[in-house]
Amino acid sequence: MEIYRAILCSYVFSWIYILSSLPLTLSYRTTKVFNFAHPIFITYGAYVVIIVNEVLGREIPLAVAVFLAFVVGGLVSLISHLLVFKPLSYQRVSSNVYMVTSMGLWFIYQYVLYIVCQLLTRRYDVNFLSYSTIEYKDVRFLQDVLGLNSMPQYTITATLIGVSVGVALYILFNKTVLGLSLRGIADNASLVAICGVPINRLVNLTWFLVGGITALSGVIWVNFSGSTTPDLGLNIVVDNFAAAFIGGLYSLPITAVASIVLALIENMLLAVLNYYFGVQPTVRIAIVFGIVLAILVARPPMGAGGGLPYRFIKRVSRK
Amino acid sequence: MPPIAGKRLLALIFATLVIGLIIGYSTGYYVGGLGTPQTGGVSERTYTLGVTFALSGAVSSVCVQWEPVVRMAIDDLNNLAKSMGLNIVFKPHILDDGGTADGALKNVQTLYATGVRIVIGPALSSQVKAVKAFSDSNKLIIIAPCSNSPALAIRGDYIFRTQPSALGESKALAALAVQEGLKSVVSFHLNDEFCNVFAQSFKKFFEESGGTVLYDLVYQSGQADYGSDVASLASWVAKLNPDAVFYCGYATDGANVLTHAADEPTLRGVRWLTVEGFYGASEVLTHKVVDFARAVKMIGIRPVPITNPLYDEFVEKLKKYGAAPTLCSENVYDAVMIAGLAVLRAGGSSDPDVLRRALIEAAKTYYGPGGWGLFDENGDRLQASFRLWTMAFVNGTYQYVDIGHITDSNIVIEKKL
Repeated sequence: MEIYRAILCSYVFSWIYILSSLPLTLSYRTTKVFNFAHPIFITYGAYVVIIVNEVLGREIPLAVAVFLAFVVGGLVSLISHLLVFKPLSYQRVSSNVYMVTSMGLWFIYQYVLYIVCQLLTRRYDVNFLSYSTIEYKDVRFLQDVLGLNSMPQYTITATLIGVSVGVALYILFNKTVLGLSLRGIADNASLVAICGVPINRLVNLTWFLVGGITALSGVIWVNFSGSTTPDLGLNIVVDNFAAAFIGGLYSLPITAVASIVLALIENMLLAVLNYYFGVQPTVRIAIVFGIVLAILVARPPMGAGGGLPYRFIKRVSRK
Repeated sequence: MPPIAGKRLLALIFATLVIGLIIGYSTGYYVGGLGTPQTGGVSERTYTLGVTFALSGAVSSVCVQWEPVVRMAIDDLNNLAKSMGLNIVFKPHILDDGGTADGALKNVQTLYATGVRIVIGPALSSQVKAVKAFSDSNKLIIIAPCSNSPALAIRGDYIFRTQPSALGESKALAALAVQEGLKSVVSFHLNDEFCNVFAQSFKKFFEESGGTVLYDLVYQSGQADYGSDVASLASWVAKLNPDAVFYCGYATDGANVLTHAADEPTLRGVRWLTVEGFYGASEVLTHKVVDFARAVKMIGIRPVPITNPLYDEFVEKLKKYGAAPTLCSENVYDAVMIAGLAVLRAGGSSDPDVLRRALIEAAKTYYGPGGWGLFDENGDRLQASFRLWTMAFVNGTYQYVDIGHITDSNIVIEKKL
């Protein structure tokens, strides 16, 4: 069995899912908003890179791509909060209203992107609605210097971005007062407010970080995939939400592990099932959902919905 | 009642009548304008042709290129009507169906409700299948420009297709495989109406000619990435050691599949045969994919007449509309033209049976960039010639290049791979 490509796909998808589901969990913990528009940040991250790459000339450096995607993703997220979610919070609406609103927001962002792509396609005579791979020239330089030319560029891009974000988040949440305050808001916002922490500013920062980090998975995507469309987020949404749900919309480490497990199931497990048992890859979504449901039943999420953990209630009742 | 008050009342009634008349006339004019056909001004009639294409979604990269083709065809129709001294003006009503069966059905229902009696589109066979029941029950004429699943070749219905049925095309591709000395093939295709039926037909004809399809690997559409499906394909190719891979996919998934396949040494070691699914898609034309196509001596087939000066003229003219031909562009043009000619032949009638008969008759005498318009007994374009194509680096750019043709059983490769 040719396992090499399946391993590569699992590896890259692990990073893409981690970078998109960790911020989803983070935003839910901090703001209690389950944002259905979240996957659009991946698409916007990818399209910022595509548009700049095409408009300013080919071969954008990774450093520039990361900066632009992070800023644009962060701003889109922040604007969504300031113009939509924050006003709703003043009206003390239910979580259902947030969900429906965020779905509406998703469609608006999605179709704005379609309009932009159609206009750009006409203006530049390049198909922005389905765009091919982008190579980063500074990563290629790095490959030349380190003698890594035989390695696909996207593995290096994914590693660079993934590890950098991981380290930065670790330092932010464990070594800084700012991170401590953010964790405090997630656990008990009222208590943090009493301590004089500017909650509004920190919530704004959280939304910015959430959008920015998620957009970085789009930077990896355009380097990895042979085609990027405005439906990118739509196609990733199931795995994205599944990983966050397995982590209970609470635990960042479990969300990260769930992302890796999902990537392995989708790529490795299906390749094995096809090769040894003749199962066609068309059943992918059913298998992924079957496993997700099994995990959720066996290990119910900790904080989804804001209620007490199911197993905790079970333990209490046993006592 | 005092006389002054009586005059005021009369004036008020008169003013109300005048205003009512103006509102009534305007409303009647506007509402009448939605119908098809309609009377605009004293002598000019406007006839609306419905169009449903995937302007968003997975196949949109091809379909957005059809919009200028429709505009061009409508302009040509209007010029023709004008030159004949006819006071009829055609206009398109274009809706986006997102490439989905549900979207196509909704659009067709919407267009029918606004009085449209001929619809150009939808693009995919799966969408045509979805609108068929509505079309038949309401006698709404559908002219699908890119659907060619043999499963939809049904006699006497209201579905017409300006793309020939894929049966002849799959037979021609099987004959080409045999001529190229290929004895065994692994089939790799998208799970959709066209690719499934094409793969089945290809297998039937190829095995009748002595070849073998060793394995049929199917992948699902609508995924973000197809890298793991390509990994599975590589495993089967390594295990079964076929002479070639038969591949059927479209623009977005095709670009993804071929980009991953280009990285796979196992897949670079076999020949690749394909269909017109991603022909014309710009996202496929990257250095990596074109280099891969050269390495695997990729040959594609597409149902376009082998020598047709009208096709070349069409390509040149389309440049003025800021577009280049993609998959089925010529069939879109022909669909609009045949629809318009049928309307003229029917004298602007909106009777579906009169229109249907006029459509069949108009197609008999129509010759356009896609060839002779004649429909067979199932309403599918009758055509038996195909062009062979590949991708190459020509004049400093990556391009789709015709390298030969097939007519009946005669296969000619004009350019060496």
